[in-house]
Amino acid sequence: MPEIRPDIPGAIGSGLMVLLGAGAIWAARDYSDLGAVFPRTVGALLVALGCVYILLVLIGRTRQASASDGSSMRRTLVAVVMLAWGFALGPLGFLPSGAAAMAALLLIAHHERWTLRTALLYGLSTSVILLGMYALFKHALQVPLP
Amino acid sequence: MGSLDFLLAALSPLNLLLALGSVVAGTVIGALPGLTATMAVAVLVPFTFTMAPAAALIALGAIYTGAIYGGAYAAILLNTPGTPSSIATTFDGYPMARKGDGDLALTLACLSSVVGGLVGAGFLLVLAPPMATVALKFGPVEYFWLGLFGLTLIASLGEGSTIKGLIGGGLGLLLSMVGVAEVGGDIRFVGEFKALLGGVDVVSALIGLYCIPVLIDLVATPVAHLEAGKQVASFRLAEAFGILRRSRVNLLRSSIIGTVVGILPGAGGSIASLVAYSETKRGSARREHFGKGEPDGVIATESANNATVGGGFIPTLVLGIPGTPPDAIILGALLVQGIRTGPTLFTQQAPIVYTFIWGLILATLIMLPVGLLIGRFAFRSIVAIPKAVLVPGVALLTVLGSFAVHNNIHEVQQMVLLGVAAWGVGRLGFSASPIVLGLILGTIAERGFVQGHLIGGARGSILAEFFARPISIAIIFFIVLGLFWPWWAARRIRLAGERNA
Repeated sequence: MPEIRPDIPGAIGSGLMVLLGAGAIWAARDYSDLGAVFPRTVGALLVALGCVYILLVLIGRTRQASASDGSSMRRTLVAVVMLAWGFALGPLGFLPSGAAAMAALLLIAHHERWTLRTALLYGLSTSVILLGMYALFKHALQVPLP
Repeated sequence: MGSLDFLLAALSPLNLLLALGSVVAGTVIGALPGLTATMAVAVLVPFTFTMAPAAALIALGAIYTGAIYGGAYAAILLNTPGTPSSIATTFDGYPMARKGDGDLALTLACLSSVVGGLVGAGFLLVLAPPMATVALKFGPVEYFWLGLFGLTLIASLGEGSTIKGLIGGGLGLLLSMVGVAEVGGDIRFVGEFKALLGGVDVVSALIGLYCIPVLIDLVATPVAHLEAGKQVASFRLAEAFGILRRSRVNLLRSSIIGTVVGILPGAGGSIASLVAYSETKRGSARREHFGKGEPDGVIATESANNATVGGGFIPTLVLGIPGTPPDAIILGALLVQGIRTGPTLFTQQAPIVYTFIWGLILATLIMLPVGLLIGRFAFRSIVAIPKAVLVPGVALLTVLGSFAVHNNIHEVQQMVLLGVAAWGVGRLGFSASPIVLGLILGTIAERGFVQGHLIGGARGSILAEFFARPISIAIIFFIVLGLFWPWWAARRIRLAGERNA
């Protein structure tokens, strides 16, 4: 029988939501009466539900979902690359930032050994996708890409 | 303009070409395990921004319907659901493929998807206009209660935990309040980030929330996103038609279940197909064959999940409340087009909405040849796309999609920040769908509440304004009913699982 583990990640998340809810209630001090109704209500709801979930974890009434397999390092790298892409888009422009980010993603997503043939084929495919989409959006759809 | 005119407008060569291309694109993306129908709509949405509104809607509807069907390929041939909507298709689809009936299962899935899609679209055509007439009587208070009704259904979207679903909804509600308040003009949760004054852009947020976590998880393992499955030899059309004729009650019942589940805000194809599967198994004389390659199982799940497409459009178009997660993206895309969904859509912009409904029916019919012919070839070719090329390509579409909404770099940053945050909270067990529903319904509920409060104050009784109007009372009744939904759905799913085991 699989071991039933308490949902510690869920409790951590709920703790964060309690803080977020408390922050919303605190921020609502500066709003008008009507403008503060929803932030206060939702903030209180987050605090209450977060506390209830933490309590359920403490009394052993929750079960952790099965952890996902695979490399956490690769996941984190993709997150970092996407964030960097979003913030480099303005200063670097669409093509340079896109080329750098797509090359990085290509490297992260490829798990096997690199051969010259694979590098050329994948590099060429990714370049065609980038340039094709650039041409389509910039010239055909008239989107002013940076 | 009459019905025939709208049909003829939908039949224009451009619309037909769009529907064909979109069904193919949707089918291909839907067939890739990990890429959902919501993601298919999200990454392809920027292509519709320069189209005429009716054409854009037809394209989005066709992508959606194609993606829901596309999920059946991997479910039947690889025992891996291409989209969450096709989870239940694996129960009998894969055993059929293992027995050498993969071709029959695929043909059955295609025909059932078409019938389910047509039933859903038919209900949309018949039900939406009278519902819009009723919705014209809605005031701010009714919209407040409707928003609340949708929020009560959030509980059903949490994966495993109702409380986590509600917490996710609360997070979405907070996101909906960022920026300048619509009534009163308070600047909320902006801090020093002036770029947030306009609030969180719905389309960019949805692209981030739905696509970035999938992308991040796609790279984690070396396992190919798709492997060559069982060979598909022929169509076995005559045999499939024979089975469908015998299972016509199942086909119709499952399609209706799918439509009804689609109408419920936030509930999508995965719930519909599980409920339909459970009902079919319960009422079948061949109950013991389910889970071992019973064609009725495939018919039930595939007709139900495609029926949610038309069903989901009913609240989306009539009330501006998304029926299913992909509808939330389509709702955002319509706002970009300058179309405000709601009851007046059917009177003030009737040509657009009726052309779209006929377009959706045509796209569903196009799915027949696409599913039977093109889909099979496309499926074979996408097997060859390496994950290392797929990931940068999809990432590029997310960046392009979020930028193209308003040509605004800040929205790309919002998209990636929210996407990475969604991946983070996803690791803690909070799913994206409740957050999305909170984000969309928050604005509707708050606007209704504030306006209702002001009107009630002016009339002398705020309580009467909120609790004494007939339509409000009816919606409050449904809210109470909605609170029982998670319990009912969980019971159905549990029973389906038990029977399958």
